[in-house]
Amino acid sequence: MSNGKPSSPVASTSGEAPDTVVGTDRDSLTPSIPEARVPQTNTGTATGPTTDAGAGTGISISGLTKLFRLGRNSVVALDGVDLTTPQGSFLTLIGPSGCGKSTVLRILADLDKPTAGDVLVHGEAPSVARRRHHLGIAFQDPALLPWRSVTANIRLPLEVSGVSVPESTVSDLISLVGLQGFEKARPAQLSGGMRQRVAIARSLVIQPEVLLLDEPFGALDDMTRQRLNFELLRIWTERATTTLMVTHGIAEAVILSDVVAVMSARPGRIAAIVEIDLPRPRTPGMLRTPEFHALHDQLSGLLFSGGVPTSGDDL
Amino acid sequence: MTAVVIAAPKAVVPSRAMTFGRLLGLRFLRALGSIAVSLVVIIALWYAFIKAFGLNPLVAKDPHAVWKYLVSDSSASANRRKIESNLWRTLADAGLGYVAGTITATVCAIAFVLSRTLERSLMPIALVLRIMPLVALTPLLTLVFGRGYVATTVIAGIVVFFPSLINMVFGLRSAPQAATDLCIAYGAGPYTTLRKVAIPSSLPAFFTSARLAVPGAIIGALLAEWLATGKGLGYLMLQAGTTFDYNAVWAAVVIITTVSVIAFAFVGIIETAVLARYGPAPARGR
Repeated sequence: MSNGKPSSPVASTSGEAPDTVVGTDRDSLTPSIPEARVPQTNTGTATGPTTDAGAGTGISISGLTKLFRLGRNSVVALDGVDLTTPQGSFLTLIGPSGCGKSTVLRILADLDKPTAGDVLVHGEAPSVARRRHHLGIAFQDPALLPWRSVTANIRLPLEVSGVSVPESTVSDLISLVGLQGFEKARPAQLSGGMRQRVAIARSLVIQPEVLLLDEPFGALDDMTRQRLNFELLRIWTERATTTLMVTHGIAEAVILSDVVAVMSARPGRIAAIVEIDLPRPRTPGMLRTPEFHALHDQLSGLLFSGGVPTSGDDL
Repeated sequence: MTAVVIAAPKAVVPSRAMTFGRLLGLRFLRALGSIAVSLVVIIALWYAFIKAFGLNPLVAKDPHAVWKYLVSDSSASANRRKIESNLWRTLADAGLGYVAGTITATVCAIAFVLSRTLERSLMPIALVLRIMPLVALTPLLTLVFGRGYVATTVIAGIVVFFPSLINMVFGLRSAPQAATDLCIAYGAGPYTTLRKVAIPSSLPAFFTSARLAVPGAIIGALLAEWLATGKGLGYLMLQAGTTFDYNAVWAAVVIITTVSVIAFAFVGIIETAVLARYGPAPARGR
């Protein structure tokens, strides 16, 4: 969190967000934070760094509930999820399959509607943020369009949103993700890791205020995954975009995040919030430090040692 | 650090492009080869059929009779001119019908994909068009649309419409959900998503349906000419049949079949090219 949020090219946030929205957002948040915390975790620092430079709330979720209809029955996917992060922080949701973590992300992206509860990204409702092109997104499936070149795939969000960026932005992103020389290549000519890099570059091209990553490296082998983690870290450190990542990978969650929220399944709830106090910049060497392992063990414990019921327990 | 690792295989890109061109050439040669093989098989079966069933040579003309009629007889060039002028008319009828049917099917498919309600209310009507025998429908259509190009276009268009509609709806819906979600998350409306993702994704299905629809349009055109307009190869066959000019009937059948096979193969080549570019990644292999 040492990096302040750089003045983004989409600098009009404060002007666009109505004061009332920001007000309600703060009011509803403050009480919700302690409830969500489990006692053994470090509760103090989550909001600590946010106060500097007047940074506002990044992602705020309160009382988020989602019901899915399955025939005549309805399944509670999310039950009263509360989460808050400051702007420019990296939040990771981790939990067993079917705990609703992707649903949280899809609601933030305005791809799903909540049944109840309030969700704000940088003080805006997801539908507003989406239409104002403030969101960047990447899924486990890189979802590249096979007929488009690497460059054209990265440019897709620009074409779709009408946002314009300097020509150099795209080429800068291509070198940022290490794909120079592949600008004209089509997705079929790339390896899985390279396709995922294209997806990461694409998620950043409109210089989003909020970045949503749904298991972006989930389909990759461990080596590629680790390499891309550190690339993502490097890119993220340069931009300090408010980020929500959903993952199964504990190591990935620890090394990337400021805060890791552990979810339990059916109904999806926040079971614990763990502050990752490893210093930034994070380095591959940290993967071997006792601090990393302590956090890794803590999260494993929460996930696997009965702390979090798995989806098999009910239904 | 990773930039160094992956900068090496740059040469991959152009060499793949050349492979793509070669693929098309190969496909073209293969198409020519399969047409030649089909012709040989058809001629052999033709002779065998006449022999096996002992058909009357006055009615059942063999390939040699057709050859004489079109090539070696003294009247061959006049015969060819007669067939040719009618062929152009039939191809115009079929072409107009194909274009009209395809455009209508595309517009309906896009409307159906944008609105489920529209699909639920209009799909049964499309189905009725398909189920009602065209032979029964044609006199009615002739009353409404007359005996000119409009009538043939409508009749050939109906043959094309339904299979194209089903294929196009399927093709438009085959767009990967993640790509659609991606566009939505970046603020795209349904039309932008359709334009950027669904329509390009549907191109392979479009050409698959064209392979069926092009011969279908020719059948529709022949039927319309036979029953309604009194022009083109469809009518020539009817007229020649009633005047015992069976050579002309068989020659017309041979010519229109050959043209259909060529059209089918030609669309197949375009389909390969489109599939290589717009198809899902696994379809083109590595």
